[in-house]
Amino acid sequence: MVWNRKIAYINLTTGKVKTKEISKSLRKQFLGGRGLNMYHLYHNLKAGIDPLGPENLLLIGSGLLTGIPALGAGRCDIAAKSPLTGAVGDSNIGGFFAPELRFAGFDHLMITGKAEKPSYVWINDGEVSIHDATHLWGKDTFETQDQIRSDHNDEQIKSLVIGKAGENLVRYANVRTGMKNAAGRTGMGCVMGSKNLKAVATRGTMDVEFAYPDKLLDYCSEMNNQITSSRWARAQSKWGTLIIYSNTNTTGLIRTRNFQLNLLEDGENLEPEVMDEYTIGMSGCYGCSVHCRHRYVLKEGPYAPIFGEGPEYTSLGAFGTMVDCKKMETILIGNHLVNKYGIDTLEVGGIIAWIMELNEKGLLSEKMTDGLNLEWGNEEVVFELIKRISMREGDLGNILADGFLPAIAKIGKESEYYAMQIKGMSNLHSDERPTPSLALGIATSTRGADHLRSRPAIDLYGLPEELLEEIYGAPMSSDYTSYKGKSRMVWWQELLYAVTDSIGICKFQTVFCAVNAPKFEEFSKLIEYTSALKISKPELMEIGERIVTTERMFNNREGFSRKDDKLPERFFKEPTPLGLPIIKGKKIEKEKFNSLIDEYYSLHKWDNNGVPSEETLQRLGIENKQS
Amino acid sequence: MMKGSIEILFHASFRQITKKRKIIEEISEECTFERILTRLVKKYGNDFHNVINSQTGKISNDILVMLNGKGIRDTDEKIKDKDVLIFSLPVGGG
Amino acid sequence: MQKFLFINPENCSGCRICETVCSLHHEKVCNPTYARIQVIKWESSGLYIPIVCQQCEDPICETVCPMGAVFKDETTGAILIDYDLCVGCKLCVTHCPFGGVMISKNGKITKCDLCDGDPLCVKNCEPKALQFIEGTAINFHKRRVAAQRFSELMQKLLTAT
Repeated sequence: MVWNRKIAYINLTTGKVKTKEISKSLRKQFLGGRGLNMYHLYHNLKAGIDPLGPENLLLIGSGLLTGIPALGAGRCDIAAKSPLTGAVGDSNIGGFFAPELRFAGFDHLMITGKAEKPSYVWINDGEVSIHDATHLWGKDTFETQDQIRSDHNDEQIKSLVIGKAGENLVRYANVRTGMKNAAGRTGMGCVMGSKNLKAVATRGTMDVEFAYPDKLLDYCSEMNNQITSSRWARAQSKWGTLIIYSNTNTTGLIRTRNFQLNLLEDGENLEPEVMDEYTIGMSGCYGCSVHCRHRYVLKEGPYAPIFGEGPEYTSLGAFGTMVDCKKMETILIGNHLVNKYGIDTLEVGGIIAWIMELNEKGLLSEKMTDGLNLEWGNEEVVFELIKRISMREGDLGNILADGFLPAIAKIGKESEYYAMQIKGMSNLHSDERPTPSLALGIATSTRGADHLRSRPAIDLYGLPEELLEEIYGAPMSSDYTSYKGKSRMVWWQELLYAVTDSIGICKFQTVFCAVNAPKFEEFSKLIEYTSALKISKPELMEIGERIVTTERMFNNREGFSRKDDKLPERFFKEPTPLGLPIIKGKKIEKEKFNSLIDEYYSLHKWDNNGVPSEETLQRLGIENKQS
Repeated sequence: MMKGSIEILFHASFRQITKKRKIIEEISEECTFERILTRLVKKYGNDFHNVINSQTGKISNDILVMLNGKGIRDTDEKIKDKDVLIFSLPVGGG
Repeated sequence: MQKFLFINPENCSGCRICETVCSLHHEKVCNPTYARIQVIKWESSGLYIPIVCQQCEDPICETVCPMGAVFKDETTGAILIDYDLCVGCKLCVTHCPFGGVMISKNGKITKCDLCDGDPLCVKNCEPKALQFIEGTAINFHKRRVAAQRFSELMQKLLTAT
């Protein structure tokens, strides 16, 4: 059964490894993946520790459904205390690592301590060992994976690796696997770097036994058909997430020049169809019938030849709209560089756009610019900054490598207003001023500004209100500029995504874009067919609450509270300058927004400072651990 | 009688069908979405007819039609001079 | 009319659903290692090639089998193994040019049986890298692709003049 998958406790300081069964009762409470990682983080870390110290934990977890042939069930969750925010660090990565880990006999890894010299963890069919990685140190994320395969003479090895950014302790270094996948957010690659851990590599040939294989097969086929027959999936299969750009850059829901404009003028060269010229095919993660990743080739120019996968909509913003670059090639090169160095595309794009705006506003001393021409649209300087930040080269590269909050402290108080960050983490290049629900999501996300914690993307579609009520369980407005009922929307999506990240499937194949996509009811069936556990929809929602409230408790213990669930001031002060009539001139209204936060807290049964009540903790079975 | 024109933008599969990003349509009076749709069916074929869910008579939930940025579902939605209509798919949010 | 499992690697997205459904169906566990089909990948150049028994017309596995244990199922077209005769000598594994015959977990020789005429890998392959179609359709498909290339060339010539 899936129950025989173990957890390995790996101490890099002592070199000792212990393996243990994962308790079934914990499984019932937290499922796996992000849920169990959060349980371990909350229970095993002391408050106030240095995220880059040996006592920080690096938690790696596959999901309860990992390995099923549907819904992109290859997702892996990586967690630690974030060196970028000091809050919950947690990032989810697709590709093929998590199933391989499961085939090797493990669902969870808890890595602690710090290796004396560069090392990597090797997990092969029930055995865990720590190996010297001196020869891998300095290699990029592609080379590292190749070298490990060649060292073990097995091309089917899957690895989670860091690049130069992780080695150099860039606070938003990511963890990578394959050509494209990245656990991008909250600096999990930086935590690996701080532990001298270059990679976690795995190869497995062990059976994963599911409770009802025939039923599971039929149901997975049904799920795959449901997904691929939708128009949304067919578009995603062809254009990936780049397709979002057509919508946002015609309506005005996209940030350009950091946060100055909300449409990119003459931006047709970033339209998704332009990608056709570079695309040789699409590729999918494990168990995914959508395959939203472009396989692309760049044949000409100083960076050519490049073979890469992606880019996501995020990179299109990071190296396109936010910095006012208007060529697809810029995006492809930028995407390649961040993948090679192993640095979060969203964070690096956000911080470069910020520094460009500071330069324009005259808030950056000449000395501070390090001789760079920080003008909008200068793609060379974007590439140069990706490199300097990843390598911590020069004063500017070094300052920016620490992330928004330390950089604001060094550059000056005035710079804070222009930093589009929440809890120290950069926001996506979406403009949430016209959309209160989306704004509430980024303000309250437990890992800092982020669209993957609770974003109700379907709010944007003007769906019938009866349908919204059916999904969310209470009446709400179908107008995305309205505040009515939107706290419930965000709360519900937050629970859904917490469960999604814990069963190890792709968010895109849940109610993210499509109303008829799988949600709690379908998850219940899949959980039963894989593990024989019967968990009803209300119970799954309660598990979602338990995970989010555990994260909240972790953050509160680190000193976070309502004061941190905020939006950048610009959301309240500057109305959107451009866009279609319903979008132009919009800003977030502070009082209404505060009421949304009140409502959101009360849905979670937290007090109005965002502190879970004793009753809530008892109901969810969460211990009140203050240290 | 009032005369005017509207902009119609096509995204994703609609762009493939029409092979156009944008067209301008003249409207001679205040008209409804349904009328515009009939014209598009004539011009570009039945894919536009499929925008409507035949059971509900409304714009299908897996299609996104935006009028001046707002997602619409009813076919009797009024269309007036200088409106912007977008035919797209529900992909969004980031 | 006889159908064939036709592989079009250009369409393969590398998702490994084929491997997983195959192992779940045949072995009742999830373990791609023992799937009859496998996607071989050159990740760093983006090449994914599904490899499976080609159900040859004149199967080498049949020729080399000293026991006469290899036979063709006339309804599905699948080349199968008669386990009453098979002694597990593995000559078929050695000689198959495709890696189409394999050693299973319990040491037995095994291979793709086309799921009794309705291959699950095909059913679940959304990008249609795997198809189960009649020979005539395969021929037409290949010609269609070739014609497409011709037409593109001719259009280029036409616009050049």
